[in-house]
Amino acid sequence: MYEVQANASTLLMIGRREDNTSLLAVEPSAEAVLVNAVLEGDREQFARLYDLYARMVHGILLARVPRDEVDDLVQDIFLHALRKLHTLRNAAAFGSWIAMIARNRAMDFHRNSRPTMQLDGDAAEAGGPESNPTLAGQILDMIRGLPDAYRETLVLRLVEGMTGPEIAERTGLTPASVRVNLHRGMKLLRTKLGSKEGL
Amino acid sequence: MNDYLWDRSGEPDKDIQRLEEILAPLGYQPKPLEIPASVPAHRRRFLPALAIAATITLMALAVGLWFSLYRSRAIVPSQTNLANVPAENGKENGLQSTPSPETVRARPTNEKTNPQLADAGHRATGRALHTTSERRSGKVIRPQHQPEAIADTRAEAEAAKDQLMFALRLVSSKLSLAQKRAQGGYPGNLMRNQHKVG
Repeated sequence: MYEVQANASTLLMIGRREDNTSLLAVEPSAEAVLVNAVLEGDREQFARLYDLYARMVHGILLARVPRDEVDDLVQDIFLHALRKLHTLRNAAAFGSWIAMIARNRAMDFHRNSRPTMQLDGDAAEAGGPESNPTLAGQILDMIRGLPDAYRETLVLRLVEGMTGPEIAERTGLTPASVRVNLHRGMKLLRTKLGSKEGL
Repeated sequence: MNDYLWDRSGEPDKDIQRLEEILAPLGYQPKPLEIPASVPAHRRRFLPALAIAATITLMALAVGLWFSLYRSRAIVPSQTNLANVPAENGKENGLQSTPSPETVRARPTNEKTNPQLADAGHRATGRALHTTSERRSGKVIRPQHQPEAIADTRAEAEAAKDQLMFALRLVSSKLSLAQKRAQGGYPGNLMRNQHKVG
């Protein structure tokens, strides 16, 4: 009986997957439509892409660079993306493309500003020179101290307020890996928060 | 599994809710994107398609050129062969190169009566067959008495070869340029789906 139910549910899942793929095959994604419109010369559509992805880019940067630099970097990244949009081969992959630009830009930021930084103590562990007196700043520093894959997903979830499926859709990661990153990252964060009782 | 962490469904986790409340002020505050007029609007260029079309056209031209030159080289000497080879054979052997029907009919009796004549006839026929098979297999016998024509043909062939090599080099460079441009802008999503820690 269980086997029959499992087979039926599998068939239902397969059917749903086929329906989804056929829909995807027929209708291009909203991002692809917007990207193609921008490439055709309609620059106003780029503002809609910005509205869709600015939160994600902000979160990716916030997980890596000082908070007061983030807003300027978001603007820079979108302008860079507009300049280089013609090099994007798959218009539907705009999200993962701009996410990669943001990660690279964050790495460049640290590379360029490395000689002027002096890391010590908790700040070095937290991955940034900021000393945040506020509770929010201290928790953010703890998240920044987590491994790379976890901190980005946790910032997008806890700071930017995106849900797991949204994060997966925007960043191009699979839902399974986002789920794993969220749960493992949250577990590590709880451990860190537990060790600092004052928070 | 805690669904609240994943998609905010199910029973809310109080710790996560508290973290969300504390961290919310650090989140994205919508700001309009200011696009300066100096940012150039790059339109999509169908570079790979153009490169492929150009390659196919150049290849077709090169093959056509090579084929026409090959045919002209093959036809001219073979025509001269058809005209000259039997005469040369006749001169060399002192015999008719193409036996007339009468000789063919008379050959059995001649072969019986005169074995030397029969032997010479076989040799002549064999020579004629040899040249025919050479012609069929594509080996071109160059006429010895037309050195200027040979020199001209050779010069044409050399020129065609140079043109072909130039066209192929051009196609190769265009293809590599197109490949570089197609691959240059986008570094690829190296961090996609990684579970790497640290």
